[in-house]
Amino acid sequence: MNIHAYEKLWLAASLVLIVLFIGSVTYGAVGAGIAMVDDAEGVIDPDALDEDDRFADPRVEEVGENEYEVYVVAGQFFFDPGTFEPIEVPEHSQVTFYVTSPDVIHSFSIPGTNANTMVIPGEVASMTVEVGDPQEYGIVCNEFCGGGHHDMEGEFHVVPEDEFTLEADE
Amino acid sequence: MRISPGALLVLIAVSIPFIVQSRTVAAFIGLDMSVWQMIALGTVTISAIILWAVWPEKWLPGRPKLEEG
Amino acid sequence: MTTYIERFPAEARVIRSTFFTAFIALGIGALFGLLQVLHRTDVHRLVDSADYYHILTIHGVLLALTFTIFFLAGVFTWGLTTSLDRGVVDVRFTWAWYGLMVGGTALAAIPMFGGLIDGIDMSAGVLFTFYAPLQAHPLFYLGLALFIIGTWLAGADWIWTYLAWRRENPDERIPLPTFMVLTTTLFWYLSSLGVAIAVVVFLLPWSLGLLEQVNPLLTRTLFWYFGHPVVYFWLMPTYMLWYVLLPKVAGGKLFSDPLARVVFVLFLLLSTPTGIHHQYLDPGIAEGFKFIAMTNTMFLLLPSLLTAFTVVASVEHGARQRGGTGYLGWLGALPWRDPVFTGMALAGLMFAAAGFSGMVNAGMNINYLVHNTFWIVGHFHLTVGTAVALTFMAVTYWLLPQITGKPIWSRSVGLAQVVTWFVGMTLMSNAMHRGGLSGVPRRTAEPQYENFDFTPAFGTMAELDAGVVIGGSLLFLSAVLFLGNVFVSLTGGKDLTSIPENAYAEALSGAEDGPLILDNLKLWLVIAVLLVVLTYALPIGAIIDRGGLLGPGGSPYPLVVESGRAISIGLGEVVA
Repeated sequence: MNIHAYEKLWLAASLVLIVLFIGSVTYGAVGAGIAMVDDAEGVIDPDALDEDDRFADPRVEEVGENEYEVYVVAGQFFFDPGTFEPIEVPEHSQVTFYVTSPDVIHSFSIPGTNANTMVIPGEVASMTVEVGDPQEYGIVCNEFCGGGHHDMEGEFHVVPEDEFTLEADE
Repeated sequence: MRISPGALLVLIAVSIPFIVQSRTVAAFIGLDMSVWQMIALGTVTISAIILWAVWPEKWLPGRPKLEEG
Repeated sequence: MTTYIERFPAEARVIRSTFFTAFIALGIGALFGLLQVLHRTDVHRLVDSADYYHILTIHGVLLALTFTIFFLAGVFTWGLTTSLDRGVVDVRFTWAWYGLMVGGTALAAIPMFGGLIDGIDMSAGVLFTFYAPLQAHPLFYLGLALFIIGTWLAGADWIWTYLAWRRENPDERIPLPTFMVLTTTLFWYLSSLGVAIAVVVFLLPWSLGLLEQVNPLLTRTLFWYFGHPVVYFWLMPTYMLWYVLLPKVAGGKLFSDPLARVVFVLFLLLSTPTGIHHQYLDPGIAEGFKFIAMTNTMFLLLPSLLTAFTVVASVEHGARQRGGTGYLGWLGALPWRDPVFTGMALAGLMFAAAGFSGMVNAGMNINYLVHNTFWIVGHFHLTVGTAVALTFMAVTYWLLPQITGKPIWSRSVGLAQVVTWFVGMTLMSNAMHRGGLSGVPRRTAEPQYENFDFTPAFGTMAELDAGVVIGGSLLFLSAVLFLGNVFVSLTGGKDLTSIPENAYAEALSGAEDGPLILDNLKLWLVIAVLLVVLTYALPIGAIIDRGGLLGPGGSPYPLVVESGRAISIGLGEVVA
């Protein structure tokens, strides 16, 4: 098989490009520490979320200094919390979302950021994000979930430290 | 004409993605280009392409010159 | 000078039928596409937003499955019979698979369209991906299964015909188009098995009430096991046309036959073990499996990059044969007046852009930013919506005369049509990509929310909406021009003398230059199966181990649920 010299060059350049791409993704995972949504959480019965202490009362919880956990139920067609009242966390904190669904597949996505995960009934998606200065974000479902899909939205507020109170403390 | 009418049509078509993306490039280097500025740039670019295409080719050696022909 | 219809009249009749079925799907799909861009941007909302999803389902299924697969079945039958220079073994069998594919499509269409009609209590607004626990009417799954079986029989027809040729020609190399048909067929068998299992074993019995629940993560994974390779099922016939027809209409020869074979072998090996890259953001799948899918996907760039080289080199060869000179001057010597050439060349150019947005999608952690956003829609309208669809339309201007004996009515309209598609897609796809970067979701009737706005990196949302509407309208216009041109051509009379000979491009470096091992399809198939087992056995095992074969619980959700009721039920269960 005779391969033209230019084609050999092209082939080599292509392989270098591919290796660079894989390298950049690997750097993102190892160097920048961007973890993927994975199988860290166990399965859950979507018909019995009210028996699970995380999702029976979906909420924001303080788990350490500047560290918060948010338990969210994403259902047809709401986020709880998020839709009925905004999810609030203080500025410059580390927030871990745990999201599950009682019905169909949804997503939990904060437009304009890379906070984005699928929400699959039976599974719990967990995702940790760092929030910065105070800002109001939206939350959307970006996976089709039924006739009211376009009405499924919520709010995520990063508020100044002195304005932040946990529901439990009120 | 320098190029065939078919080639001219395709050249204009292919210039459009470059014109559209010129805004992306401008934004990337911090220049804010409005839609109208982009349309103006596009009009100028496409006019230049057409002008270039229909401008008589320069006389090649061996070809009869205009005054001779 | 022999046209296809003179040499293979019986096969030409089947190919005509596959093409016409594809064109009907294209017409309906294009109309519904126009309705969608007007609806999403709130320019005009003809239907309720809840019904938008039925329109979207029909658009997706008819264009991504019906149009593409019917057309490629015709193209493969043409390529196989032309290159083997022999007809199919039994044309009744060919009609049988065509009939099964049509029957399956018709059955699935009943609930898909039923969802739009008030009096009909059937629906299948579950979109092209039909993720459980959203549930469609059983006819949808049944139709889909029959359609897939139809494609399997089509593959059997091609293999059967090849084997008959092999007995008659025991020592010859497999002709290149046939080689391409066979490798594609093999990975199609391998990959469509996933969706067949999802539909026949789980979703159909579940929709009939025989199973109470399914494991949504499992059926979703089985869907994507098929859902990524299916794009190569559309793309391989496109590549075949770029390899064997584009150099010919450019006036030259294919640069290298052996490298074309290498490319198709790579697709056979790597198409299937990549599907998990659609599930980068799925909970319940370990990061390691996602990483493996990412590396496989990146290596899949290689055959496409090789194709770019070979196709451009072949076209340049054609241009130089036509008298083109200079570093770039040869470009001017190409037959730009010819819609067959120009359409394919523009499709190839856009595919290069699509490759770059695809690399972003494939970049596992970079994908967080664009996953399920409008960006993805922009991406696949460049791939299947342009690289594939525009090539198929352009090639129709060459193939339609071959299979009907009737010349194309207007080649000028054809040229205008392919250029309009290119310009329309430039505008629409750019706006979609940019919208996606600011977080606009895909697959939504109303991407306008009450409590927040999207902020594009530059420019305004209104301007992005304008891009989508203007682009989408141009695309619809282009589809109308295409279908009109085909229709008027068909009403014309036969004129065999004006139609070029049915042939495909010869190669500068022919099959004899390639090692024999390239043609050892059994070997490549075995390796492909091994790669699939290596990539998929553990993740599928883990999913079943975690959630059970039928899932950790949950009920089906047919689409007729009214939104108000669903919210109160959800809250009752969750909050109370």
